[in-house]
Amino acid sequence: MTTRDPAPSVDARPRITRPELPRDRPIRAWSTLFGPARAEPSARSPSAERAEAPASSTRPKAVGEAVEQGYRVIEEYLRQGQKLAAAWRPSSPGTAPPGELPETWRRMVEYGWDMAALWLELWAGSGASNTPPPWASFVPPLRGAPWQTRADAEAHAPWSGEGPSGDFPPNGAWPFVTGSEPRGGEARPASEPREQPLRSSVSVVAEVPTETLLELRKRARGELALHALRPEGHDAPAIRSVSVGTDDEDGSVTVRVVVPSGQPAGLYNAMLIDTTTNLPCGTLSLRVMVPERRAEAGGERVAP
Amino acid sequence: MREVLDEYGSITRRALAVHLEQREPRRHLYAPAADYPQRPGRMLRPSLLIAAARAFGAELESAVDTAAALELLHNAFLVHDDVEDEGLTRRGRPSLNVLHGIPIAVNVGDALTVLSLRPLLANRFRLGPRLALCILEEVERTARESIEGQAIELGWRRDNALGLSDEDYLQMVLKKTCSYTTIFPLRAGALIGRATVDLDALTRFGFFLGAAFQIQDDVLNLIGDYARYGKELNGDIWEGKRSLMLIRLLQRATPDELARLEAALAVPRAERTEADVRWIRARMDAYGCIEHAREVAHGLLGAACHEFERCFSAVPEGRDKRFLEAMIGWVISRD
Repeated sequence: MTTRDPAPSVDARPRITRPELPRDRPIRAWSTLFGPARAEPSARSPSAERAEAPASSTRPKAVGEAVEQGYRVIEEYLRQGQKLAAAWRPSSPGTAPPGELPETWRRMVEYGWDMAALWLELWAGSGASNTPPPWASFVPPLRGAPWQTRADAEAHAPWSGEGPSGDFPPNGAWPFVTGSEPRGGEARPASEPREQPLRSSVSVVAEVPTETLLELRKRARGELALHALRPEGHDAPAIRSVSVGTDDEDGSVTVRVVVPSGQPAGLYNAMLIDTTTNLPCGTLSLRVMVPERRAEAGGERVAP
Repeated sequence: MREVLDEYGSITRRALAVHLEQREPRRHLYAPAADYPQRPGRMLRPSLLIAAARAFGAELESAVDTAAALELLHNAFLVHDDVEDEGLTRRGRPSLNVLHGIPIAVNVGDALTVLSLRPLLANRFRLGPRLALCILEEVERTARESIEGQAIELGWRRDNALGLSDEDYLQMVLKKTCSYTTIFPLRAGALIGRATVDLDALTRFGFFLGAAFQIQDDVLNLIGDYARYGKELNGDIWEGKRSLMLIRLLQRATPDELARLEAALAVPRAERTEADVRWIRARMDAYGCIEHAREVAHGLLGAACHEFERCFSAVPEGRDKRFLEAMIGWVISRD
């Protein structure tokens, strides 16, 4: 039989216990996340310390208020933003309310044709313009009427050998067209756009091959003036031997440019000004080629 | 942190050099336009944008043009700010309005705004037209909001507003600073990275981070080291800027003090006296206004921490994510 020791088995010495903490629940305060705020280094007066004492005692409250105010401000901002977005959405690009779907479809077709035009321009600019491109049979007439036949389109196409004419290119936006004679060649008459027939020609006298682009955006009300061709993106003297004339009968515009000997290669631009209104009504761009390209590039050409 | 700022900053500077190419009229336009961007700055905004884009999976090159545009726009704002505030120094050197006069400085600011469009248009080649247009819309909204925020603050100064609250200040800062300093870089980064993140959550994170950044910036204006801060100390008091500290002082001042404050703030900067500025600064100390601003900034950064977790918890760990997270602590610890 076993008997219990009457002596107490528990050590009579006082237990080691953790000191009582001043808090009775976790302290989770935004202000302690990044450590205590540093005091500014400036010396403070005793009155300053006194004045700050109440502020310190309300610190968690102040921090909590700041966060609360912050959320209030940002949520209101987001709410306003959503409201504005809803108001703007119908006019945003690429979206349309159900009622406007036909318009969207029309725009898609137009974009498709624009894309095709861009491809054709790139192809024409590549220099292989004597034969139709392989995709020619798939490309609809550019900016032409939907009912225009492919034969009509090809008849006016850039690869037909007739140069820019008819509906090609849209808005006279041909890239630089390379001429064939380096000196003194007279340009061929420009095309006659359907709505605003406006004839133009450009004559360039140069020792080196050049490319020209004449853009006439609208008919001048008075005489035209052409300023010097100024270099674009490079340092070179301006080409000042330029003149422009307008035929009294049919209003056709003739531009003459003499490129001085030794003119640095590069792009030169000038603006055509209507002297009556002082408004610009067109631009002339001329690229002086490097002599090495003489064999492949000619003299001048006209663009409508 | 420093390493990422240096790396992305130098990449952006190289892109800026292309858009700030020197040409005529050089002396009165393109040379002064390149002045501020060439001065030593942290390049915080472009770094934030590039880091966000990369954290969300974009290639570095996809974000550089947008970062350059943002930096150009930022410098445009700085030039105009210095004119509006009659600021004397910027990044440790005389401001453009001091160096070249107000008319040229205003024109340079306009030029920088317009130049910022070029890299945004170039975005279409790398990002495609749809995303490029989307970013352009974000920039338009950001720039408009920043200008609205600036208008609010200028209006406070012109009308000598005295009854402002902390909430008024946060609303102003949200528009003036946060929209283009933090919110836009984060949102643009997410768009460029084609992330499926909640953009509203990013906006919240950007707001809390940006507001704390601005408050700390205002604090440094009072107690910072001029050599590192780069702006005139107490410049905000000279300008009568409604910082959180001044708003706090206006709330705490006795009627007599308020009357003196009203008189001191009513006059233009040129007529404000050194004695007035020192007195205002001393009263800010007396009422613990700087401490209060610091506490608010700490609170806002706590909220920023919370929002960061919401936005980036699903983003894989990496240097860019660590940089964005480190930004939260850096906002307060910088000097």
